[in-house]
Amino acid sequence: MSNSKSFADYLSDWFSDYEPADKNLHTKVAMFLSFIFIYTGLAIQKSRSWFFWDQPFDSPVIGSIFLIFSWASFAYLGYLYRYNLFNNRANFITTIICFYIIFNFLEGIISFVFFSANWEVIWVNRRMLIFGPFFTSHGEEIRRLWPTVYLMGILLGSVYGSLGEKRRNFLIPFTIFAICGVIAATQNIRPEGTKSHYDYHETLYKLLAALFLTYVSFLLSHRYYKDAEEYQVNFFHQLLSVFGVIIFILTIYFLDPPGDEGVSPGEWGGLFLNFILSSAAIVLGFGVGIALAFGRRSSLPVFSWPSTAIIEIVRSGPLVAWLFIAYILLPDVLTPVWEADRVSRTILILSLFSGCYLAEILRGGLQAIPAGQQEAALSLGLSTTQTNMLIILPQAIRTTMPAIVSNMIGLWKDTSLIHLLGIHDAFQVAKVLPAQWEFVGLYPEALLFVGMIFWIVSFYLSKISQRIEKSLGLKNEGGGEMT
Amino acid sequence: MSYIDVFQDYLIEVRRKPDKLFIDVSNFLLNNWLFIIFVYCYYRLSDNFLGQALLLLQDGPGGVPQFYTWIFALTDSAIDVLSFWLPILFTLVVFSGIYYLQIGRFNPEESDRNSQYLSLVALTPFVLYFILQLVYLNHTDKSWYFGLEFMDEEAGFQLSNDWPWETDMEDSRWQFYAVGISNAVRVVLISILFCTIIGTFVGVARLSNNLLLSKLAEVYVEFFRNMPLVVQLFFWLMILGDILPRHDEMWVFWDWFFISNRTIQFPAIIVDFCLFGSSCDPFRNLISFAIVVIIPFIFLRQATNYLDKEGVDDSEEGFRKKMYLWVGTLLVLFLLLKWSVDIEQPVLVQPNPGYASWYFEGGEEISSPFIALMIGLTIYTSVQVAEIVRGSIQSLPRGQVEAAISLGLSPFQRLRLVILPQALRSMIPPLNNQYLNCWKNSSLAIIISFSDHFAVSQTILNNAGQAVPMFIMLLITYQIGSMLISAIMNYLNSRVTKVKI
Repeated sequence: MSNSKSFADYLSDWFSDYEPADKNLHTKVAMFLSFIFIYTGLAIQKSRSWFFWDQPFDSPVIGSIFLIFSWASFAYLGYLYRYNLFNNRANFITTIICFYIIFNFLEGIISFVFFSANWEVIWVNRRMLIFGPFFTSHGEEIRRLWPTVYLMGILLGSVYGSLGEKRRNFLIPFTIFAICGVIAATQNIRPEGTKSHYDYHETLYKLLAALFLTYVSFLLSHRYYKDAEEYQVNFFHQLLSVFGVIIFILTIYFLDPPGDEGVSPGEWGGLFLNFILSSAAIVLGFGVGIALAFGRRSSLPVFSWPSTAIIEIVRSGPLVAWLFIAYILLPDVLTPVWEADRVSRTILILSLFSGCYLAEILRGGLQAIPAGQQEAALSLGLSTTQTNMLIILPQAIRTTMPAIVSNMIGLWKDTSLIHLLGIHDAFQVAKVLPAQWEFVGLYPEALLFVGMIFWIVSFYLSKISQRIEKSLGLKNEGGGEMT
Repeated sequence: MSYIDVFQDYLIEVRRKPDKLFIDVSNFLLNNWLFIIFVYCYYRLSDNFLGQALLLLQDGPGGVPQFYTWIFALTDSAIDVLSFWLPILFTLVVFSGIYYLQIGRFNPEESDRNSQYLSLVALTPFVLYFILQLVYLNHTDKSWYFGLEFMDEEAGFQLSNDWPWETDMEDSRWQFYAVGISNAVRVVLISILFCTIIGTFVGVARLSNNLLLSKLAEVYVEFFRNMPLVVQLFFWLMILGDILPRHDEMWVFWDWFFISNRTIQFPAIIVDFCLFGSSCDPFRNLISFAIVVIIPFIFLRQATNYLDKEGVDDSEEGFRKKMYLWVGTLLVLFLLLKWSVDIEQPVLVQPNPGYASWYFEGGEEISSPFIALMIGLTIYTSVQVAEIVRGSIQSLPRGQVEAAISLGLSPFQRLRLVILPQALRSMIPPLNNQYLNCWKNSSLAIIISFSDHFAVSQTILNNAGQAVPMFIMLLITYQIGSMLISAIMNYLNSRVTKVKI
């Protein structure tokens, strides 16, 4: 090791080793300021009005000065973390390159999102994106979804209330989300200047009722389960998962009750269809996966051979091939006994597909359980079914939870593939929106918006997965220090 | 214990209580309500399926079975009777069997055997229906006809990417399918190569001490991991369409490379000699080319081993010998290549200047869907590879790194000599999974209209209408590809884990 001074030491010398009292606060403020400076500089350079000043102001020089300010705030960030970022020559070069990349990306993203993109295509068609074309042209049919909204509100509130966290961790983000939702649902759907027959009062009252239910169930479950024992909370969570499945069945029942009236699954669409498809495939796929995993492990050839064959055949092909099979070949086989529409067939094939992958994951978990568990259960007098369901399976699910959640995330992302079958899911809607005459060619906006929705849900799920991993104590705490 | 014994027990019990001949129905219903619901569902399902299966066996007009002659035909009255009684019979048999199994009077072996018989019986209505329906479809529906004759017919469409075979409208569908496979394999091989490289860099960068670099790598991973591949592919296609110039503003580099948003044309390497046979098929050419390039290197390796058979010979004479060997072999290789390979320059032809009619003569072409698919697959898989690399580096024991530091290795040496070789041992099985995913994800080419074998098969299917053989062929193709990748990776794994630590 050489004893020469690094750039960080020089920095300390030049600024007489200045160290702020609250480093985290300074970091956040500097990041915020660099964002604001880039935004303002771009707004001035492109002579656009920006949110606190109506009058456009065109001056490239002043715009560049603001961009230089953003460099300054980056430099301040670099100074704050100088012993990490500038402690030797390699780090110095890496840091400079990273700052350059980050600045360029931020500039590009900000200039796209705030200045060059036309988000009206999303705002005007938000109902189509969420519910699909049928519910857009038949607005009155949305009433069939209100029971689901109320029940989901209760479920959401109860789940978050029983997690044993501080109240504000749920209340503040949820309130922001709720305000955005109320604004999006009650604003005039059409652009200004055209007539609208949309009466938002009813929607507003119903939404407020759903929010009220959510808050009440959150506060109640928080009140009762904040200091409850773990087994009580677990029992409550089991009840809630049953409640979730019931909500799912009720949703489908209310949407398409037996009889003539109702919205058949072929008419569903939008983001809500993606949610329905993925949750149906997760629930059904879990059943399929458990059955196939036990079947494959069974010593009886009647169970093990068919399950092995099914798992291997389904896993050999890509999902797209199976979707096309569901679209082209499945009707031939099913039509005499069940005239299934596209969406139901897609649910069937998605659950079979995810079930086969889940079966392999679960099989790994089942194999990892020591044989003593099974022997102990049998010697306690439990039957084989009871042993499998009460002793073996819960432990297998516990150890494979991260893989199961990542399978769910994959399934959620894969629902964007169903647009190939001509189903109007969110991605298909985003693809056809730019064909409207007001918004010709606005592909980037539509695609990015839908992509970000998919991203947010997957990211949220992966965060939940990390949380579960931590709470189950599965986090692998290994060493490994790199440069 | 057999059913007869169980029945005898039942009779004994009835003799004890003569006033109760039958089991208490209401008590039974209350205790077994879930069981009853299952019975009802099973009855409805088997009724439905058996009814349809029996209808398929219906007597056709003129006393002839409807669609096949090798099985008996049923009259209408027989169908009426059977479709009423058979479901009831099956339901009774299955659920009385389940009830007796539940009581637990059998020893484990008998219980296993009986449950096998029972599940066979329980599945009979459905299996019967599916078999009969498949036979029916095979006889009546064109798409269920198992035969590959349609693949020999003229294809009747065109492909934009055809390499190494040139395809024409009159070529057989086999030719087109082969070109599709070659397209997919090209994309997947390139993606696997680059995703491994990028993934390793990003995975190492995520563990960097440099805060900025690790955050940047984390943003990269989180962004591309949680975005559906479909959206990414469209996005890349859109970006390519945006940044590549229009045809009339084409980028031309030294008259050899032509880049526009329609095509990217670059010089072709023409191999015009053949080791086997006289007819020069492009695929044979490629194989011959590969052999010509590989043989000198095998020779070099063997010769070096021979020279160094008593330890590495580092005297001046030994060096000179090896130098002569290398220079000579490379000279031979160069001459072979010069003799066998030709480089063809693409030429832009505009028959009517000023109009939008133009084409290229010679040269090799790649299209923007190819590049979009390549970039999309590479990035999507590289993210997973990065996670694998990070996970396996983190699972290394900390002492290894500390030992490397105390030996005085530089950071790069630490990474190259200590950490990565050990991480490789736990990396290869999950990497295999990701490569398989990459191979299967290449089927998404269809949504950006790149003609891999999946897209080609869908076009063939639309033209010929024989869906089932087409899908079976597709599944077999994907399975063979997966098995090849798995075989290579298993070989690598056995190589890496040969030394136990």
